[in-house]
Amino acid sequence: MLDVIQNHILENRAAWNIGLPGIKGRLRPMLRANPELDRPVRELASGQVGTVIFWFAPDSNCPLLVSKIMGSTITPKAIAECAELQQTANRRLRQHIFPQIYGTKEIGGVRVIFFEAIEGPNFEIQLARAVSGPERSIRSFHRVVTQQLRDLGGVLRGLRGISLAVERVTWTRSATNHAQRFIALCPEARSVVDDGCLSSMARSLDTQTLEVHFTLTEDHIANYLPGGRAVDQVVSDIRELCTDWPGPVGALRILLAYFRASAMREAFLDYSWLDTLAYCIDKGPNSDPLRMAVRAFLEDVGLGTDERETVWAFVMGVYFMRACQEIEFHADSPSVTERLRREFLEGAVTLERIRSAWQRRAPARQAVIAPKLNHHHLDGEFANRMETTFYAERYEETALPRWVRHAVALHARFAQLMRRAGILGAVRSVYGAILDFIDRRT
Amino acid sequence: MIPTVTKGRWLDVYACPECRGGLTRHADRWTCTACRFGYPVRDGVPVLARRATEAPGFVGTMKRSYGDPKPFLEMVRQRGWQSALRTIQIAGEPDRVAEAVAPNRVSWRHVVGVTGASLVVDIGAGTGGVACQLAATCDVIAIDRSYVDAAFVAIRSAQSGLESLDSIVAEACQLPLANGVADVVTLIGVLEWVPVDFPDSNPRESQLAALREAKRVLKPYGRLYLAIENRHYFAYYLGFPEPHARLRYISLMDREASDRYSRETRGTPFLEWTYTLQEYLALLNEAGFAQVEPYWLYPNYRLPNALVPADHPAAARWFTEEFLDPRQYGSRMQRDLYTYLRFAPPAHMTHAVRDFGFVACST
Repeated sequence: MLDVIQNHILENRAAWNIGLPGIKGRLRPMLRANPELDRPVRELASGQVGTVIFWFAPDSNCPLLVSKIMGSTITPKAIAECAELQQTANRRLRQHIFPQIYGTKEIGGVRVIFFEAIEGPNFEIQLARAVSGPERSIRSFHRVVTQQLRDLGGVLRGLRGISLAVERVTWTRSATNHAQRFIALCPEARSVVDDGCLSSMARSLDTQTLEVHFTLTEDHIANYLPGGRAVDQVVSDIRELCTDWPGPVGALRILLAYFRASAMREAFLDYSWLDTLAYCIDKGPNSDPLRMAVRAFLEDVGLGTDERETVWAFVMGVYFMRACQEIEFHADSPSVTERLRREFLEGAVTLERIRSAWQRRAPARQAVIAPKLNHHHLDGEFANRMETTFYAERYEETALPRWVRHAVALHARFAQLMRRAGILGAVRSVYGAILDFIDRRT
Repeated sequence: MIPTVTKGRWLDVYACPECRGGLTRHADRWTCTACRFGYPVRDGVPVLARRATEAPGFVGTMKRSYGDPKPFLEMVRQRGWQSALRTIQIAGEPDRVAEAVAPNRVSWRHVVGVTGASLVVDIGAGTGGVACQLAATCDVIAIDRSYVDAAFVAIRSAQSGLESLDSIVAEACQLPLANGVADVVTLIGVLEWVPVDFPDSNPRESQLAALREAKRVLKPYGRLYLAIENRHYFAYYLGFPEPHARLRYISLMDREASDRYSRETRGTPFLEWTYTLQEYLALLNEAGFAQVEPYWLYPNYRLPNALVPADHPAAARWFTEEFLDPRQYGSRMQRDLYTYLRFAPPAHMTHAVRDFGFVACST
């Protein structure tokens, strides 16, 4: 199949205006498969779902284009509609927010889509590096979060201008329906999400009417790229999706997924992510970079209101919607469903605790548990390191002495050089010393 | 009685492994029309090898206490292959059932060019993770030198209702197939074990023989998919044990020293040779393969989530910068490896690769 895809690229490269003045020789494919393909994923939704092939020219530092092997359910009409909306967004925002779709071709009963390659790790990898990578630090964490929320906010602010319906709508009925669906799926939630909670949420939502406009269809932060770029938005019915998530609802879907991401939760290890989110939404001193970033994001997406109860009502509605989607998605797997029900029930308790506290105007510290960054983790290992001890760390109690590891590491670094210099004898003597040492130990 | 799934539908593709004569199929044996040697059919699985086939194989290695395979195979038949495999799952090791059904076992199929019309020969089928998944879309002959593995695959394919899979017992160096019959031959985690059957021969020569045999059965322009470990993997320098011999530093030593070390430490010669990227390319070229495309299989060859061109340093650099997630590197050594992967110069990237995959074209 790759040969056919490659030939199609080579035949159309001039029309697509890529890789000119010419791709010399064959392209090299880098194939990426979704590690979770064993479950029924939404195969068309994101850049890393399904089988994605990045095509490299022999002398290029980055891929020329991407092809994605999709299912046969998507129609060319749906792809064309998505591509048109993406182009409209790109023109309106005066930058390429969405990758350009070059074309599609049906090969062996499946549809292959060809689109522009985007550089840079996705949001989740960036955030994970800021929290778990060797370069992690609190400053790096704050910088990455601020940058990502600013990028996302900028994109979503731009998309607000691409209207898909004339009339503004309220989201009260949808949110209430999602809450009731959640109660049906998780009956224990009835004691938490009671009639008082629902009516209070509805009252808050009634105060806002929302525009229906083009929005981002995926909420997983792994699907968003730095620099304000998004992956392709190719879905079966994009207009229907955007109508379901009017105005800031689409944006809050992403914000909730962002705070629920494992990298984010690792940064606030002992605190509920909903508390962290509430802390950022709550009124208070703007000295915290995280809170500043979230408030700026809410301004961008049209929820810059001082009424924190209103924002929280939207958060609740989106939360119930997400809970229903996930629980229903995993309906075939009882163990996963049970775990999700427990997790979302726990979240519902937190949601209601914060809502009721804010409703009775409780002092801030009683309403929201102010989360503390996991300082030990974020700055624990490398913060005060003055020199690199890359090879000389002890790995386990049975590790060889430091000088042996230095000798081996030296070989690792200069093996090629040493071979070229013809001093294999020296290498062998190092090995001999290692062997003798191991012999003595054993 | 194990259900017979080995149908021998493609009897014309089979040949006597010794003299290449045609085979005549009978209920209890397949007989060579040239040398008249009769190859037994054990519970529906043809044993097309003249040497002993009681090797423990992958399943036997999991069981650790390998003995009479019949009770285990009976359990596979009675309780289902997944349930039986779970009973011999060793705590702390990767979930073998999940591995056996994960679609990413065959994520390389697009690169190799497996189509619905392909005949794939999977050498060293093990629990059938590759063979059974490919058999859903194309014809597959699963070959293993261990009877228990071959029988396991036969039962698994029968329980999965796979009509296009033959499971047979044979050796990698003496394939019971006629010349030029296969579109794709796969050697996944197998080549390094080939010399174990030939302790008196030079391991490289044994491996070359297996590769030449694979080339023999491939059609012109057929493709070999070879997946195997990197001899100079970065973690071996840091003291991570070599996975075959389970000894530290052994793959980094020269062959003579590693053999002496292995004999003195575990009492057996070091035969499970692996190679560096350049050495693999030379080996494949010597075996007669052309147009060899090397790939870095990330994270490993069992479940590759990504195939990165290993001869394209910029692609490998791009991949590490774009996709490596530090959360997947938990221990201290792994974190050092992650740092090395991301910040090492491109020329050193091959040190950071654990497993290579090679797509080689037969001319």
